[in-house]
Amino acid sequence: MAKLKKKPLTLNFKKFKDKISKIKPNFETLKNKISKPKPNFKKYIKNISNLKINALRILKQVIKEFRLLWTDKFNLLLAIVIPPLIIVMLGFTMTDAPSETQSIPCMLISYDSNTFINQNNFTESKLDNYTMPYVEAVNKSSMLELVRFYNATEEIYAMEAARNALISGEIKVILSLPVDFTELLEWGLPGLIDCVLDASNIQYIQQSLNSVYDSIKIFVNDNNLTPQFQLQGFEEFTIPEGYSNNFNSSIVMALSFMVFGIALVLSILVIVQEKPIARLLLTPVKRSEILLSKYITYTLVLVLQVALLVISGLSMGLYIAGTLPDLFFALFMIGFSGLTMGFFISSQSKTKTQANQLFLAVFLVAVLLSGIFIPIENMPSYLQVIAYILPLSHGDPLLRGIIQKGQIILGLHFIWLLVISIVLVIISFVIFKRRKYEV
Amino acid sequence: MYLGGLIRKEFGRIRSDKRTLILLFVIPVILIFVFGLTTGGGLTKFFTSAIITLDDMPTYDNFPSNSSEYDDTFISIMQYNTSSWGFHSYYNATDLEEYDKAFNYYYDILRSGDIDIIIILPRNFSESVENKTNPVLIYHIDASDPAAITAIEVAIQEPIALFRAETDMIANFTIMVPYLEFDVPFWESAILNYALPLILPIIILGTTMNLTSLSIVSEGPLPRMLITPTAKREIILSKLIANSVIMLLQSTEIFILTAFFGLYSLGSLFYFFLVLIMIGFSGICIGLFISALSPTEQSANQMYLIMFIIIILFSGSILPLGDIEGGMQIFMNMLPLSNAVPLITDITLKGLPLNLTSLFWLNLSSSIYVILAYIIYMFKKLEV
Repeated sequence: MAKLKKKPLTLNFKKFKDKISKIKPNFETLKNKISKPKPNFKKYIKNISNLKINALRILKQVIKEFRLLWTDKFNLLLAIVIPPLIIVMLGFTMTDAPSETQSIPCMLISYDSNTFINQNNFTESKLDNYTMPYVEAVNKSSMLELVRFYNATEEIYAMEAARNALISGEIKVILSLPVDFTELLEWGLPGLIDCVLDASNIQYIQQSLNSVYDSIKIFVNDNNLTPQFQLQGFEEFTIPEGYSNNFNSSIVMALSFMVFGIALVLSILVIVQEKPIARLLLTPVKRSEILLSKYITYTLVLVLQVALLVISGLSMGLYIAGTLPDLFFALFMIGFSGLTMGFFISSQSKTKTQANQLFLAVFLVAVLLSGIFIPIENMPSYLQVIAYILPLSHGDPLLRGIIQKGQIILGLHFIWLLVISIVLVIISFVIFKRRKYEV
Repeated sequence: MYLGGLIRKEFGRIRSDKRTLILLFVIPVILIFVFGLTTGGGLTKFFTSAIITLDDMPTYDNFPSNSSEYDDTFISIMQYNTSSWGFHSYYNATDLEEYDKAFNYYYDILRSGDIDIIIILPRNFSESVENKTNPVLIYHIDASDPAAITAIEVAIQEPIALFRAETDMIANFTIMVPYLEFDVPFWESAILNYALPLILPIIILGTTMNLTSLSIVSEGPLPRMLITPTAKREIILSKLIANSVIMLLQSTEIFILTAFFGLYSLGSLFYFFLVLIMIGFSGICIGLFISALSPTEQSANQMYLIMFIIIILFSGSILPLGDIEGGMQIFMNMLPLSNAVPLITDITLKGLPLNLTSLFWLNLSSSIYVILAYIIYMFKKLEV
């Protein structure tokens, strides 16, 4: 066991005295610190008064901006009144009847009565028991309109006549029962129905396929052709009865287009066309204050515009599965991204013409890559990157999520819009600060 | 004499704004280049599914056997064999508690948009297949996508057909074999050619409307010109002619570029070119109308945008014409896109000559816009 060495307890008074003496100046600094608040308080008051002056200056700037806007009443009218009018127009023009219930004109050609030669045993057969049941099924289907039925055994140019009708647009589908249609079904093999579709308009391809499938369902059920797969479908996030399905699905696209586009066009000339900015810079007004006041003014106009759009949408029967504040903020965010893009264009353009050109380029690219014309997932990866950077690509899914799925606003699309907007705001401030003005 | 001079002046004005001119010719190049290279993907709806199978749960009632092998076959087909389906995952629920948990999990994924459909194989699935009774498939689909609702019943026939072939359930099976007539052949750029009838007119209208929508409103010396013997109609006419020449050049450029990037046309290329010119002319007339009506440049821009949105919205390509009320269809006919799209489709994909009805409406609407522009300009007060 190690022995503990005891130290004698001797107080080094000299050292202690020195330490105390060293504290003295510390006391003095403390004293100084206590006595200092007086000038700091003054500074604080000064800061507050400066802030007040700045706020007042910004407020006056905002009022000036509103006056400037008021001078062009026609422009204001277009920005605020026309978009809700378009929504109202959309509401009145969209019929409640969904497009899939409109019948597709078709012709049916049956080769079933022709002689079928079995390749395995070279036997002939002329069975056509299922021809007329299928014709009846087509007649029964509300999705198909049978323009004419041809029995190809009697009319050998039936297909030619039907093709001419397809080319002229008289019909959209040619249905053809092959020579072995009945034979195959009788022998326990799949019965095939050929359908020639007009594929020149992609809108009608799916509709035509659905119509043909509807006739097959009727044919199978009426003739008790079992076993068949029975489909029990449940549609989630659907629009409830009493609301117009067409209006609700089309308004999503119309809203994002209008809010973004009008906010963009409203702000593209804001900086570039204002001549007194240069003179304004001789006054104590700071550049950041000028831009901030413009942002505040146009944001308030945007709020009004979004409110009117939401009111007009609701009055025309807009169904919202999510919450109203979420829809409002989502629309505001889409509009704000357009506003920031407009400010960015305006701050970096030297002339009005240049701003207009940039607007056209940005708007056309944003519209064409928004995913409305070509689904974004069908684009090559490099285009997908560009599409996702653009704000309009996020507008449609964000609004659809809130309106139809009841999603909350906070999500990838909202965050992305927020990020784009913040980046554009910062860039516009930086560019505006470095912009050269000649007085 | 006056008109010639005015047209020369107009050309000078357009030429002085070189950036606009460059943009007018560069934007179509970029967009056609971008869309020309867009050859990936297809136009059919592609479903991503998740499957919950209850087949392992015991069955009673009228099912003598207690089989559970066919759900694996169906899942395997969905996973590997289909061409129009994507597969997310599957869950084998052995009791109702597990089913509820799995369903809630997949429902959240359905809400987030990662999957389009939840397919549920009921507890008697394999037994139904084995006993040759009608098997039931239950599905929950995301109905917020209208394309998905309309496509699902037909799309699901593919895995069903494969399953029936695999399990020897082909008796009494009736199926359609579709042949797409007038479609874009697989070796051509399908996306470009299907999108062309809409995208080309949008590009032409967008740029030509922009070219002329500021031509009257932003021209400072215009009021002073009215002191001279120049008539207002000559001013409008000179603007129409000069801008039409520029538009002609742009249409030629677009025509050559689309041909270079894989334009598939069964019909006459001359007709196609003619339609492009008529669309461009329509854009110029609308632009002049906007410019005559607007008091300031900013309101001209606003009107341009609103008009552009209305033209796209009511083109008949986004909202089907059948869903529009009868009276409104006349209004839609007065918009250039609703006539331009069928005109181009008929020529390129069907090989038909010019559709005279669409051509009549397109030119009638252009004439009305230019007449309106003239009347408004006649009554417009200008301060010298």
